[in-house]
Amino acid sequence: MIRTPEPELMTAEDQARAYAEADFSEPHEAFVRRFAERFPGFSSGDVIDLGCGPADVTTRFARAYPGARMLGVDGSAAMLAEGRKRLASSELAPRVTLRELFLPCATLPRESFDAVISNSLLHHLSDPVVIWQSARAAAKPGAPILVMDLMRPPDLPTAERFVNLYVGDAPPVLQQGLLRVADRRLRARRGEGPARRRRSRAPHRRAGERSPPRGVGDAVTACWSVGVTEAEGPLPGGPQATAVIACWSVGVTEERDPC
Amino acid sequence: MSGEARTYDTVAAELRIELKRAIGAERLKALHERAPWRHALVAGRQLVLGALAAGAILTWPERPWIWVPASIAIGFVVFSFTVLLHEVVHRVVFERPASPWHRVLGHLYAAPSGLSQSQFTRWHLDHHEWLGTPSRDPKRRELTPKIVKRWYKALYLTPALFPIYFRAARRAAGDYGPELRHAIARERLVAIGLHLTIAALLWWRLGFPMAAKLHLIPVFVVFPVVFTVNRLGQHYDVEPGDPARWGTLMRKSPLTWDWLYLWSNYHLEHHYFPGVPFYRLTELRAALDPWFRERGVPERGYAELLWSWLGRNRAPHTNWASS
Repeated sequence: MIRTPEPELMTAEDQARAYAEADFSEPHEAFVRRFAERFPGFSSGDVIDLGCGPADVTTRFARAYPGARMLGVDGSAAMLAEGRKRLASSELAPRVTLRELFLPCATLPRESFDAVISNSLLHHLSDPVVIWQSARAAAKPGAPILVMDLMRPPDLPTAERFVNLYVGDAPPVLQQGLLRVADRRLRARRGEGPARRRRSRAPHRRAGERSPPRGVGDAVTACWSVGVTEAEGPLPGGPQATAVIACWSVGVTEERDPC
Repeated sequence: MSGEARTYDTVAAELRIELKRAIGAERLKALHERAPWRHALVAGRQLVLGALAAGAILTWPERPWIWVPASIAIGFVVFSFTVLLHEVVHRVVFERPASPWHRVLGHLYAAPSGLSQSQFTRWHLDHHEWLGTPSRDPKRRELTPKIVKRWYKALYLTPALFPIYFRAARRAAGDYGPELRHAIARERLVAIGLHLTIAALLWWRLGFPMAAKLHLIPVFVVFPVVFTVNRLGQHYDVEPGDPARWGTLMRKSPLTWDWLYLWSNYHLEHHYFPGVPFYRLTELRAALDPWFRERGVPERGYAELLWSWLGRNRAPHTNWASS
């Protein structure tokens, strides 16, 4: 697999807000439905969401499984702040905890979770093995694991076409974020150095002007696809858990101290 | 078909973009909404239909113009449990996909149709995942006739379907873990035990002719025909180079097929969006119709598929128009 450098952690507040406000209902509901399909025996217990971002999947999962106690972990304080806002007014708050944590992390509770979920974290990790090691370490023996990640358009013009078509109304930060990833991938393929920020061809907005997030989720889904299950089987290094793996291209995170 | 090592989600990613665009985000969301009461109505209707048919046979057992259609109706009812189970597999019955009632309902639906819920679930989800791959789609790898001869294909329309199916299921289960295999064995034992018990009770209490009309003919004669014809409309006449046509687009029929097959005749549409409940598949089809027309996806009817399959002896999973 050709891996794509992904140096960014989503730490910027406006970026975190754009993602938190975007409507990802369709892909995220599909994520929960896919978990229910693949793991019909799971009903309750402790669940960890690796790379929970603004906790949209975390809360949807908690809503779908009233017997689940959720721990969402993410390396971005800005994302977690958005997640806490989401939880503040929610009846789910007693069952959902969010914690800032950067993987790999030695203090991640070991063999403590009845299920492990992760959506769109893989492409942020410099070493993809980290996600499997973390999942394996956190999961109780036999616990279900569902990892899903993005699928990218084959080339930048396609990515730009999709962004124009589907997220033309989205906040520029979201549009640029999507294009940047595709741009890096292409440059990596061509053997070029790290990509510079690339401007979208989508109509730009005046400073301070915000677009309603409505419809963005579908567009993002359309751009990047979801539910890409590339392989299924035991985790590398041990058969303790069943994993549905949805790995796609992955990237390079910023150098940071663990945890 | 191309893309042997890639899942359908991967291969069809761009296709789904087009489809979502064609349908519209809000409409697509609405199509995914679940209405448990609608599912209950359909299941209830099937039960009533089965009861009425059984009642007719019990009341007029000597009148073939009554018991023959009634036995056929019971065969369709038995088949319909596989379709109802299919809804459970995709977790689209209740509003919460994780509702534990899905599992309970799954067992209730699986037993009358002689299936193991666990087997059907894994088999079917693998089929979705690996659609288009000859070696990883279990339905295609294990169940599709490998001998393209009329006599062999015709076996699928007879009680020979059962050993064929169970052999296919056993072979597919070779890839599963021991826990799942044990669960499948247990569930299958219950399902087979239930059918044997029903047959034995009917024979003992009402005699062989009545047992045949109420159970043996519907299950062993009608069911294989219904099952096989339904399967003909799924992935046999396809365009291998185009993921949008890895299923057959069935012609919209007068209510008959929707009613008899519980909308499983919209199989291509179902693969595009497996989270849409069966009672909304006609709406999904209507939403996709302009796209199908623009794309030039040809429609087929069951009669023409049967003729191509048996009369012209077309090979499965190929383009029957061009072959």
